[in-house]
Amino acid sequence: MGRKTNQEIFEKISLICKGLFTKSRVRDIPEFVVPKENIIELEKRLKQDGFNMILDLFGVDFYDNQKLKDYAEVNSRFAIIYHFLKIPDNERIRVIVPVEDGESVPSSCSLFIGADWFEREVFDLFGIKFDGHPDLRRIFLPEDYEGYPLRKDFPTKGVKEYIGTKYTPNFVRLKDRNKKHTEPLDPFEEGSRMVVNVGPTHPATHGTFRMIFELEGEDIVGVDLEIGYLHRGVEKNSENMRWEDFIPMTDRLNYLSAYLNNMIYTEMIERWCGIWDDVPARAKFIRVILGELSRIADHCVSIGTMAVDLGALTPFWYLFRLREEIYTVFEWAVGARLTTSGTAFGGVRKDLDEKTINHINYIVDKLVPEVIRDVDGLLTKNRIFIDRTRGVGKISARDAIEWGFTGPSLRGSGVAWDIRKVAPYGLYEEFDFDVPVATEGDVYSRYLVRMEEMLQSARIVKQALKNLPDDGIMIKSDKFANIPRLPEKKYVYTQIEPLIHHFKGMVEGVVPPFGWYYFGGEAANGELGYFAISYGKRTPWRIRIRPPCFAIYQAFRHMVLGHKLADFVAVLGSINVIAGELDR
Amino acid sequence: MKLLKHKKLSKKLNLFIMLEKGSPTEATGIIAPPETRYKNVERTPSLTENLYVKAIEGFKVTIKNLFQKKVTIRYPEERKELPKDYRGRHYLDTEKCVACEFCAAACPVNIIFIAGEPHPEKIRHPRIFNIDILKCIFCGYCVEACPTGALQMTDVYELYSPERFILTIDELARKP
Repeated sequence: MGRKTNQEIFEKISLICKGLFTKSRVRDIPEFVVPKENIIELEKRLKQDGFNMILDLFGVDFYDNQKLKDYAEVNSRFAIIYHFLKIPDNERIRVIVPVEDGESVPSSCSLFIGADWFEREVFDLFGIKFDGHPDLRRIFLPEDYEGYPLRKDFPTKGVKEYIGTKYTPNFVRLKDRNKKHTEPLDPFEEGSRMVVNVGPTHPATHGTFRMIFELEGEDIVGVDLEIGYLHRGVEKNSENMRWEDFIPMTDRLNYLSAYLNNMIYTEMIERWCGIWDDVPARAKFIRVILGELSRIADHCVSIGTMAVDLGALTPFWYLFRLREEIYTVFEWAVGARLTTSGTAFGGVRKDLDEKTINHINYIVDKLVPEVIRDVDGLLTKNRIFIDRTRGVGKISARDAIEWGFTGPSLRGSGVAWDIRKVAPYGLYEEFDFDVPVATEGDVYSRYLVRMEEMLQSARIVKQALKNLPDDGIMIKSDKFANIPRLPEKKYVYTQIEPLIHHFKGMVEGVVPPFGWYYFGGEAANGELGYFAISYGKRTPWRIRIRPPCFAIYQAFRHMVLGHKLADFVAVLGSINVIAGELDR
Repeated sequence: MKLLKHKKLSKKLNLFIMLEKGSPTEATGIIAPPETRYKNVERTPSLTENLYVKAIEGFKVTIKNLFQKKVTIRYPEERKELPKDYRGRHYLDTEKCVACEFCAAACPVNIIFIAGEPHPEKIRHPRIFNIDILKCIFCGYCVEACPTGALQMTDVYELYSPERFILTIDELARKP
């Protein structure tokens, strides 16, 4: 069965949704401009056709930029952009819904439940209302915040300072117990509910986010999640940054596997500018090696901290030993441990030397299997661990897809979905590896998937090291005007021409072609995607980050309902929520 | 008992997925894209695991590790070796610096402040060169931008100061 090309998908969707859209075209993926009255009908038809996930939903403010409006073929100030995805066929389409200031859009929550938090985010940052949304509150910013930050007329520095946040919980409750409780709450009375607050700084929340639980005895019957404690406005800040300055910002999304974030962002710009094929193979190999190592490090933290939360401290030490060795590699291969910023447009910033390669060989040949064997011996067959994790936080394949799960959490539910396989980017086509899947969809399944994935990553690194080519780490070609090639430093210091090139490169910088582009890759937690709009200047018009955690964490409410209070730490550890990525 | 329960549960779930999705690729209930080669890592606990035997076997792992070489180091007496181009605190070679302000322009967080003055030999010389080290993200872009190799990064990562975090030109020019 061959994969459909964009043109075929475009023709198919045009036929299915005839009369619902006003404009359509094929860019990086098929695009449809749909008036807001038709969006629900369009979603219904897409769902019938098998599109089962809203991968991303976000807003764009065109403000007064007529050229961008012409590019998008809309006439309104705002547009809401939907990315629909079909699993397992990997068909993607983009739907653009034009919205004027003050207008509202019908909510997609009734059809795609995963749109829930994405719509709240658009409401929070753009002030666009969604009709029929069950829970339309601000999500990152405090309730009493004035203005909508991602609008172009909102100053980057903000309007005023806010001390303390105002927050009114709105619980998601177990369906059969949805009767209203009577105030005041008396925890000692039979059948009454107690509210327990967890976080923002709690040992089980590896980051800052707050959970409010409603308990009946020890059973969780109501949950509300408050996020946004680490909201730094990365997307707003990006609008005043050069394209290359955004690479260090991507370090701070999922800071446990910063290199993967760098890698995906850089590859997006390279593919967008059309220079991907000219990037030397050695640079691509180094990216794969370091990226997979950081995936191992990420899973180390995920499994280790989950085990600590469940009361098993020893696996944590073994896993963190492995992580420390990987970070030693990063010290030598990149020059930093956590915030790597290791890639540059057109290659990588530093070459691997002999010592580092030997160290990586030691890690993937000896240390990873050894540590995995130890942790396996401690946890996998341990009845105590199995009892705490088996059947906890269960989510079926269908629900997981609908909530927008990607990555190990989706594979734990029995869907062999890995972007490295279905739409190979980087050099992943050339490596031989399997996609681990587990079918139960509970915490234990996700743990098994992560364990196997570490071994598979080590396998990829082994193959990459064996075939490491030797053709430089930076793009050589001069024919690309929009990616200036910085000459080597030793020539800059001594010769005039490289110095001129250096000056020119520093002053002009990178300018991707006018328009927009989406690229997603498999980060440690799932699909990390970047959608960027360039308006022909040195700074982006907008960079949208599609965080994998965000979609997964919204389903957390439904995963813990009905379980005991002590089980939420297991679920939280297994989905590996990273606050930096969640809040951006 | 537990064993039976797990098996039953997984069978039920597989059936559920099959009914929901129509055509799973295999009877195991795994949804997979056509070309993806996957590996099912799902497992059901054996009888010995259910009897806590395997849990006690975990002690073998810890005891084995007890007699292995220590992996920790005695910081600060012992230190890890770091590469020369580690991205630590900055060092400025004032004799090379021409106050071109490229580093300040390249800085993503705008923490470098430079004021130049005329110089008889190299035309311009930095009079003021401040780096707000507290805001620094240690990306190394300033070093990449420097056309004379004056600004470098050292392997000093222990950044502490009783009161000030803005490194002036005198502090930057001090060799670590």
